Amino acid sequence: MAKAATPPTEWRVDFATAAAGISIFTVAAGLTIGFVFGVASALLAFVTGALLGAILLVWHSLRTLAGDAEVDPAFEAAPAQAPSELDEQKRRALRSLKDIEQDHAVGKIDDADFAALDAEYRERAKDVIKEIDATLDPYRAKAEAMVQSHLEKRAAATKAEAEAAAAAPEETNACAECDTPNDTDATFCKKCGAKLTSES
Amino acid sequence: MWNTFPLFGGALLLCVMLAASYTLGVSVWAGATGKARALQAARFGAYGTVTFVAVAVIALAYAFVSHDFRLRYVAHYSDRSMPIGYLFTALWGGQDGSLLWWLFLLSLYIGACVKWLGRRHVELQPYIIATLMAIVIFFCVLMTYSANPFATSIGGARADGEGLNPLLQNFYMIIHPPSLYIGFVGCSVPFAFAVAALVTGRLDAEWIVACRKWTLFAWMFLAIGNTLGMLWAYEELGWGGYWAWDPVENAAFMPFLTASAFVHSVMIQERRGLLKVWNITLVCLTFFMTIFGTFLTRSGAIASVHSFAQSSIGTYFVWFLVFTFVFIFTLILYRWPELRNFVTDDKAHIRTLRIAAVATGWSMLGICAPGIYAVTKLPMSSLAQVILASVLCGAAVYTGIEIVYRRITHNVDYESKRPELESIISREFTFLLNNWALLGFLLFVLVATTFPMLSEAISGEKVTVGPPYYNAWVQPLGLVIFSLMGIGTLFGWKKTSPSALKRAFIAPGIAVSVFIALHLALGKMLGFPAIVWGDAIYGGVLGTILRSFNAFTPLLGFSLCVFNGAVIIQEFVMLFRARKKSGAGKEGAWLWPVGFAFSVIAVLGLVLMRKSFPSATAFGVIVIGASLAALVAPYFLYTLISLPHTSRRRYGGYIVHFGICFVFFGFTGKSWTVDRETTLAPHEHYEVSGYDLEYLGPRMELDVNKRMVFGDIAVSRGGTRQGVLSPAKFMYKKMPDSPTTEVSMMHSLRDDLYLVVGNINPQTKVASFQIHINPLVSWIWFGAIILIFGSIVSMWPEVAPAESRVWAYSRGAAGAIASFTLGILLASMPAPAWAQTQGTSSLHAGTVHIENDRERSLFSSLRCMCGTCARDLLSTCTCDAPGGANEMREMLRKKIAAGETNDQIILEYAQQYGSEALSIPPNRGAMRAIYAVPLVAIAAGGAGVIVLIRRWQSTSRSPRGSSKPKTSKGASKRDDYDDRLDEELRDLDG
Repeated sequence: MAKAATPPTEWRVDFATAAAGISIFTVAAGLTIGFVFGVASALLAFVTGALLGAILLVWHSLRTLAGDAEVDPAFEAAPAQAPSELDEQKRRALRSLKDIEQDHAVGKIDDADFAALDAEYRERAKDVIKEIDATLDPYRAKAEAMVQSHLEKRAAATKAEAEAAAAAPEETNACAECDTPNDTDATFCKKCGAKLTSES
Repeated sequence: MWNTFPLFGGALLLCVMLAASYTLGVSVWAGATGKARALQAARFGAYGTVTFVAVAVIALAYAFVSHDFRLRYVAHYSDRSMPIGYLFTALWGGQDGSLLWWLFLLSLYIGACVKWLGRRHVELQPYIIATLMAIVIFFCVLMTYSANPFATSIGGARADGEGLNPLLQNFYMIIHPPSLYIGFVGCSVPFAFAVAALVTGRLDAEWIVACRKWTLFAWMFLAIGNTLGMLWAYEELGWGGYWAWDPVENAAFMPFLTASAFVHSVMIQERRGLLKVWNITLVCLTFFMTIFGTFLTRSGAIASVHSFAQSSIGTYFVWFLVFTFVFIFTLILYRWPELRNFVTDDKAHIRTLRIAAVATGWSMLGICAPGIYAVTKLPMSSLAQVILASVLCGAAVYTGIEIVYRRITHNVDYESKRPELESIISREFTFLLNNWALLGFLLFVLVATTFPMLSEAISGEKVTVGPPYYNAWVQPLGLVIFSLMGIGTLFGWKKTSPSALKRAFIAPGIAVSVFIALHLALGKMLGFPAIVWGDAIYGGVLGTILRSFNAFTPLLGFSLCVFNGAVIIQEFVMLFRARKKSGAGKEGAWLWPVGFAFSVIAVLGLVLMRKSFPSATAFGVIVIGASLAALVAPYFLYTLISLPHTSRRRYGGYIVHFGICFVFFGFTGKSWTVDRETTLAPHEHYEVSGYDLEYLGPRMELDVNKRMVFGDIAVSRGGTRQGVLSPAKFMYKKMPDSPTTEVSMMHSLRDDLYLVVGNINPQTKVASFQIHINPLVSWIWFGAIILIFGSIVSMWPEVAPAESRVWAYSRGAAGAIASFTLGILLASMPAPAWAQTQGTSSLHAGTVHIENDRERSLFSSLRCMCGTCARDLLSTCTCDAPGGANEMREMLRKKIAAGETNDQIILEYAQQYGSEALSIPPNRGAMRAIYAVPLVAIAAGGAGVIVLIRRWQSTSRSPRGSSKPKTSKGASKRDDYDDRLDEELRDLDG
């Protein structure tokens, strides 16, 4: 096996490979045994395979619980908020508008009733959307302020960086032996290896 | 031989229990803390549990295949001679194994559900998994402690097993229980969603949308399972009918009723945010009914209700039901504020409300229990006691709820948040009526099924209710539901314009009037008279009313079929017209030539097969039907599939309704059933309903394990020979004393000729026959196929916008073909017709000789009281025991000969053996409760619907009234929001 060359501590099989391996092996072994020795033996092979699979799954579950296995980032994300009452109202109003439209199209609601109902529900849906917008406004303002402050900070940062870049050559830690510019925190010259004089 | 195998099996069950408990704990922890790794661990734990169950099932299969007769279950249900296929079916052939099979199907559902959930509904997931695991644990406990399929026989391994009951060794028995189980088990998934919604408090439409497909799937399999059960009874049991209102049948039917109610009422919550409590209750009730059904079928009380819950397994079920009830009831009370749309930020206030709700709810129940007990001790008649107890209970419940309700709405602006209803003539209202009728029907069946327990509690007599009772009462109830189905379709959401409603009534109205006129005029001539008078089940006014109503059932049933069918066809016509108007009708117009080609092919094919049709009319009907269907099908299917998914659900539902029309059409045929008994000598003729039967003589055949005696009958109709039917008796070597009855049938669209042979005298060759003419039965199976197709259309996965039309269409076509194939397979599988004694029960075994209709009606209202059988009806029981059915029938015949009337005989019989000897509980005293309680409850439910409607309407009038002028003003001018609205509307259905 190719992996045997690497040191034992590096030898790892991830869960997906193990699961796929067990299932493929079980099916293959089961079918082969089934053809050669009969159904009963094949069932035993399946029992063995499935048992191994079950143990693997439970083992993986325990590992996940202990924090040793990777966790799907989708579960890590902050739990989605339950749709608020307003969202629900909006969804319902939209659904109603759609229903009214369909029922009008197939002739269950005549034109006059349709006009009245449609207008009423449009108004209602609009009210809800407006209300949602209104509740969102403070957040929007906050977000904008955050963006603004972030941009300002970045502008300041770039400015500072540019200044730093401008100032950088002066701070270069040139080698006393060969004159090669070195990083400021370097202890030895990267070209000739001579010890650099510490500045701090 | 693997010495420790039984131990291994037992250990596997413990492993399942352990893994499930671990998963339950982890998932609850995940739910409580919201930790991502806990949730993922729970998911893997669920997969692990599922795999352990699979290991257990495969291990049991191994035990069967390797004939490990040390296991009691294996020894009991298999033997060495069984073919390997039946060895696998033995997995669910008996109680212990069928519980494991139940668990296995449940775990398949769990696997699929966890997989499907994936990254969706992350908040609901932990509790969904936890609920499902709790159910798994219950079944594990049940198996480990009471019905372990891996338990060993006390006497050690035997040389050979007892073998599977021949009754179970046939095609329908192989597929019917699993399909019913799939339906039963499937109801656990919506229940788990409901519990998760309750625990997390996310009670908006989210969980309903999430579990919709699961609900529909379970519903469909309940329908398939029930239909297959009917087919099995019809083809195998040899008593000439398809439904006997057996407790087991009722148990399978009741969840179907609640699931149907749920499928409809969720639509109101989705649109209006109403009926939240009701929907939760319906889901839980459906789950309850499935467990209750399993309990009835698997507590060893299949054949009769008398040994109700006497085996130890019943106790576990009762405790599980009690535990579930307590849990759900408390949870619902706890979430009362959310369920009643009560929103506030004041946490402390909410907490008080929760405590108040829980406390009130429970104390309310607490008050009821001793109250009822006290009432039963009062010195008054039983009927008065029942009424008083119901009134007391109702009052307590109402007061309790009212207190909670007042408390919640106390000084809060609550009314304005209530959703409202514009108009009574709307689909919402008809859906309420639908729920009311379905639940009323459920209550009726439930009371009648559990009446032995109820009557014992009330009057100390175990009175079992027989088919004649159901048949009389079910006709009015069923027809009410059926008529609501058609009428409701005519209504639109929100508000139906009266003018439009009138217009919608015109076409079906004309169709039905023409049909009624034709039926009254021609019905008798064609052999389907419009009015059929039967026997009254009671004396007195009530009996007369029921009898008069039921006399009109054929006319009503037929005309409602026509009306509902016309309504649905009109619905589709309106759909196509609307699509044409909007320009969408042109899409797929190229399919018309395709349809025409199909149609031509179909006609040509049928003409080539002309010879195989029994009559010219049948041929004509089939040719016309097939060519029309082939012409329309491609375009019709294309349109269905390309509809946006909400509409597709709706029209799929209409197709289901269309299927139900056919099913009812078939049920109506019951009114014209002809049952005859006759004894024929060879070459003697017998005429019945236009059939000419000639008895050709007996014929005997032998094979390895049985002797078969056939009574061949040549059937001709209108002078042409239709074929030879060979009803038979099979004498198995293993059971020489109980010959099995082999039904032989000739199916046609008009009626089924159903022949059963009784005794054949070996010397004189004279044979006795039972002849049943069952009109229109084939239509039931046909309707069921359409119903399955419709529910598949409703469930069809949404087509992602990225997918092309061609792809969508081909998927649709594949689905349609698959469903048709499935349907045709189910309907036409040639199954050998078996019928045979099942174990010690004498249910439907052998043949009973009945001389005339008077005897039939008398015998079917009395039970055999010999004490060895399960108190079957005298019309079906074949006990030979002293005092058994045969003796009884002779005694009754003497009484008839002595000139006594049926009523007198029944009265004497009841005096001798008590009320429990009657199949129809007498219409007096406490026995009245059997129909009085459901009827009172139905009336109360009706009143409840009215109150609810008034309340909804009042909220719609009062606070919103002020906004009316604003809307009319606002409608005239468009603003930015209109554009946004249009955009969102476009996106709504994808």
